[in-house]
Amino acid sequence: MSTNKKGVRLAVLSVIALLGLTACNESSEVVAKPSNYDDPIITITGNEDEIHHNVLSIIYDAMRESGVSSKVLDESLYRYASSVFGYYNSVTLPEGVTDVVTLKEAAKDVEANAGYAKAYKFIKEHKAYWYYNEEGEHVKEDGTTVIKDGEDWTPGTTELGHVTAKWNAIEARIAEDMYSRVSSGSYTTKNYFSEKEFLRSLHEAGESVVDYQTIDTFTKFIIPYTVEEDEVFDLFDGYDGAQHRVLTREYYQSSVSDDANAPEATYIEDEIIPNIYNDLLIEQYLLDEDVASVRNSRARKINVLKIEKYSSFTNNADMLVKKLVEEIYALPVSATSLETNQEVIEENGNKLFEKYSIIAKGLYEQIQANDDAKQIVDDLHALASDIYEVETKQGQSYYKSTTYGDLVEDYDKIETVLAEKKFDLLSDTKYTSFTSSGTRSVKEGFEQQKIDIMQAQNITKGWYIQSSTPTLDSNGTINDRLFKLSVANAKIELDETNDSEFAAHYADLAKADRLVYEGGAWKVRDEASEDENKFLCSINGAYYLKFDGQSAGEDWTNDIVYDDGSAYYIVQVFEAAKDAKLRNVSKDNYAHTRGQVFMDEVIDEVAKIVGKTGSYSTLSREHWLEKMDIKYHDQAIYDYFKSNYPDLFD
Amino acid sequence: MKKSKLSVGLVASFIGALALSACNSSTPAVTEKEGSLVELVGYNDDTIEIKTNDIYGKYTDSSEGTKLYYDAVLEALIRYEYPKLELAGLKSFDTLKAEAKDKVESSKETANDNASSNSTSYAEEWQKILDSHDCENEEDLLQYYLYDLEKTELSDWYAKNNIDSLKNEYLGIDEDWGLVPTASKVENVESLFPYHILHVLVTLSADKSDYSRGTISESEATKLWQVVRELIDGSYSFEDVAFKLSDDTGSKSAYGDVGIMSKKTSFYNEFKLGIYAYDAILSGINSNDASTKDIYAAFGIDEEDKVITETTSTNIKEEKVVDMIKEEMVTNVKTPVGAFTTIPTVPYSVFKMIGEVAKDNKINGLSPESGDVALPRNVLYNQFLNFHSPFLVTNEDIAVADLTDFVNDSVTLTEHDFSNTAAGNFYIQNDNFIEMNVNGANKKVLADRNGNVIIGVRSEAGIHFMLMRKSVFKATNLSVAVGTGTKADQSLQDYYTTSIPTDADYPGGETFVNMKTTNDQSYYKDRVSTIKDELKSSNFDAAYDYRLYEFLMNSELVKSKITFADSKVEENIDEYIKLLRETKSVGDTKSINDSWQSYLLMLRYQNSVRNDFEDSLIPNTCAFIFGDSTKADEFKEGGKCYVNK
Repeated sequence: MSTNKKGVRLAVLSVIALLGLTACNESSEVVAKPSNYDDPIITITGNEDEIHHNVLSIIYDAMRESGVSSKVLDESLYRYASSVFGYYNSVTLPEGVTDVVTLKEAAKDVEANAGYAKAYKFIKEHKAYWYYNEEGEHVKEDGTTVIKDGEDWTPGTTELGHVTAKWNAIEARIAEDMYSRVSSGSYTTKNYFSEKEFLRSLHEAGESVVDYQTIDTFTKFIIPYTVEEDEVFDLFDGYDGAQHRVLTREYYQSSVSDDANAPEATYIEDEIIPNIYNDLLIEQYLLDEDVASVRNSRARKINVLKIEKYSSFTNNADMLVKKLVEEIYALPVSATSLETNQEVIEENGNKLFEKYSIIAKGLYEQIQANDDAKQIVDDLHALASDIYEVETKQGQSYYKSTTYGDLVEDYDKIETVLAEKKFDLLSDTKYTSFTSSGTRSVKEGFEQQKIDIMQAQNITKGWYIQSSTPTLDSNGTINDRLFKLSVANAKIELDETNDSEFAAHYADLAKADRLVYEGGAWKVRDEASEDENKFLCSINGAYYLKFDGQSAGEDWTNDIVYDDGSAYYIVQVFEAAKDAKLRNVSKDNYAHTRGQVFMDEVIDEVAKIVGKTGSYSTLSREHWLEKMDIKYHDQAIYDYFKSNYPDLFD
Repeated sequence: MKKSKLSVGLVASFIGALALSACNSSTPAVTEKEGSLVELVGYNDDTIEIKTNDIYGKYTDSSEGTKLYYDAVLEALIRYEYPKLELAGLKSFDTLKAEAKDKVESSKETANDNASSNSTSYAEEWQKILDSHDCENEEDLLQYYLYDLEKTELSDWYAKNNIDSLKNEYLGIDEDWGLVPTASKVENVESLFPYHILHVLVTLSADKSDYSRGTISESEATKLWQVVRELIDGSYSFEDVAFKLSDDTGSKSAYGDVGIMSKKTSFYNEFKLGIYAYDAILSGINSNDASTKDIYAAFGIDEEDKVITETTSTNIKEEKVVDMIKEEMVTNVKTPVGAFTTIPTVPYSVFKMIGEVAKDNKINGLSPESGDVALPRNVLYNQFLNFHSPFLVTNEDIAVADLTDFVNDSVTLTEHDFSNTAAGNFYIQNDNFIEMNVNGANKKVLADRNGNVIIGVRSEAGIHFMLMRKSVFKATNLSVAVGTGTKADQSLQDYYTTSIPTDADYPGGETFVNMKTTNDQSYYKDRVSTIKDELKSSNFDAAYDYRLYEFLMNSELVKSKITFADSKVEENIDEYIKLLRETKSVGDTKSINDSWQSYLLMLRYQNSVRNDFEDSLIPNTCAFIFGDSTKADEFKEGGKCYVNK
């Protein structure tokens, strides 16, 4: 051990010498020693003799030479991030730090809407939550009155909104981070997830989680693909008809438990929060130093449905996509019912695509359980008897010429041959596919492939930026069009809080919408208006990406469908950000039209994506370390920082 | 030893002299501040101080910190306790001190020699030696050697003086030969339940995943019969057969010995789990006695352990491992002999037929259109041997009752009289069959000359003939009767003795050490080393190295008298050791459970292939009619012995 330590030490110091990086005061090295540095490691009552090497300095020196410097770096960054965003909660307070309002307390105070004393104190102590104009000056709620250094002020809605948005963002990220830790498949057998296995692995790694051996309520279940990453702690309806949670948060974070006697668990505070704060620091760097990279990232929040046209399904796919277009153009029920609430539009869009996804898969039971889906299928079948024709084989009802229907028919063929007990079946590729080369029964193979269909993702949704695009159609056409600046221009934002502006915007929206109210009735425009945007159209308040040509028929309204030869795509654009919408002070910004919390949430989402691109992580770290203006009180730490971040010392 | 700050200071001074140009500021880059490592300006222009005690405190709480503390505390304990310990067999402190001084003197001589051979000075070479041990001076070096000797001596003494209790923990038994209930074991230390197994392997080229139409070569068929014939013949020992005929190059030269097979040994599932299944369940230790749970636990199976056998989108089907073992290793194994209730059997005459007709690719000029798969050796191999769970070999001859009945395809079995010297009879002067109750009847099954039953199994490598020289249960109070013969059983403690035959305390009888009789004492010593290494292995106790620490902490010299400078440290070390053991234990259990899962699911598929497809296996009768010109059509397309392969 000693030899190795020395080798490392010499090597490091040699490198430092070559770079001319040595400290100036060579006469005696500065060493920051713990207060009990010279104490004995152990004392034994009655022993008068000195025990050789029984001194804590031996241990502390070894620590200093191996890992203390990197721990100081990590701690510096985390403490700095806590200085930026506030301590997450009381569990994360460093020893000796008292009389501070944590982010959690501030957010709860805002939520309580009763005086905001804690929130005000918190905001005043954390300038990341202040309201700034485009010149970077701290301004009052009116957006123009500059608050001078030392001047007191009362934080306004914008600043309170910043607190709420940051808290929400961190809460969502905790869930997303935890989801990413269980989604690897390591804790899943035959599609059934076991939280017990996950908790056990953490327990074995020495993490602060509730002891899995004290819990007897674990169950195994399939995590439906519809469970979003940020819903990992939420109840969901399982395929088995029961309600489940992917993870029980209290097992990992006792501070969220209502039970004061809950067993201690600080895994989320110990492991997840520092990671999140590290990411937030990168994003804060972007917002402070390179905000254009966020504002001009052409961020889009989309919802894309893909309906494949594989051989047996082509006719069904054609009919289905036409039916979907028809539904999108369904006329509002009243003169004032043009939908303007974006949350409702998103929810409706998600439900609509989800419904058609289930229909496209042909999952009989799920379609039967969904009245709308069943009606659509019945309508299609009424148009042509061979479309969505119901059949039953092996006790399984299915729609012919659908993904699920094909599976049932293959299953039936195999079972039929299996019943004949002919050995040749064993070499049949379909048989080996069902049995997964002899590791499961045909019946189970059918069930597993059915689950695979249920879990298949026909829908792509979420935030994306131009430099980090999702894989959609095979030609890249959707990406080409989606990130045009024009898309963001065409996406009209409504300010529902301002009556006069709302009216004007509503008029704009109504003008741009393909559904018009004329002569006491709604109708679809005869054709696209001349000034309609080339890339985006509004249909009943919802926005769809447009394509050249009419993929799903001759009707011009079908230009919202893209056909890449093997599949149809319909792209709903929930949000399309641009510089003006993301500026702090702007009549056109999201804060103005959608509220501060919403704007912060958009910025958080976009910065999160941008921060993971390029070399922002390194740039951010160097930036913050420079800002920290660190005073070193230990030579080894100084040498470590100098060796790893030489630019800081130029 | 050197204080590191001094060494860093010296080197830094030297470097500083070379890099003076960098020093043009009057403000030092590093300044002293009591209790502080760094200070930084926060985002809100506040001052953030990273405190020395906080960072070192966090380090202390980490696993890396705990290890550093452990090393230092162990050193302090050894240095304190060694001079005061009065333990039989432990060298005195003065003796060690003298040895340490000798080592210092020896180092000086080395420095002298090196100075001469390297054309350097003594001082330079002496410094190199000091540096290599991170020592500052001669006294430091003396202390270094002294601690090294103390630690080694004490570790060896501990292992030697605790050999019996270590062995019991390792074996999973108590002093009364009883299986130690799981709850009574040292916390989370996994007993390894060792077996001493020998085997003869006949490698087969047949596809391991082809459970009904595999093909073996002429030479493999010949070899199978050669091995079985010699195993039957009492004039050969099992060890001799292994030495002469086994295809396992690793164990062949060791007379078939694969060493100690513990729960952690990575052998084919058919080999290791096959032995477990045979010993615990197939041989009848599945009664409802109180120890049943612990017997299962010995093999990594909890009575409630389940295999996920099927899932649907709404349901999960799990089956008990113990139920599946019986189902897939007995009930669902079907051969022309019939169905089984305790363990599958294979008549010796199957091997004989396979061997004798091995070269008969054509009889009377006839050959099957299906190719080799319809040759008698392969028909018999697939019908009687091509399943991956344990079987016993009986002394039976087989015959086909009706050579035209390919559907029932039944055989008649008659005991073979090996003592009959009549011409044409297969005669062996002393055969190795012993009588035991199998599938509800007394049968004679193949054993070795000592009455240890031989267990066959098909693995992906070929067919193993395994001899359980020592079962973990054979000498416990569980009275496992199967195949034990009439000889008195050696206790497990004695079987795994750590003495050699010339030692006074050597137990005698059959032991792991004396598997081979020889005058070469080094052989016995090597065998003892194997056992000792197993007992000291971290496989057995992940925290084995910490036992000395626990021993010293519990010594009366320090018990209730010791105080740690940092009160958390003792707790951290204890917690670390506990977690280390627990993690290993749970991980190993999971690993063996996973092995059972994959093995049992494979067997389920195998049995499905063999049983659920009526034309999966070529009828056994075909092996008996091959070469009969009147039955030639049966081997042509459309015939009963034709398959499209």
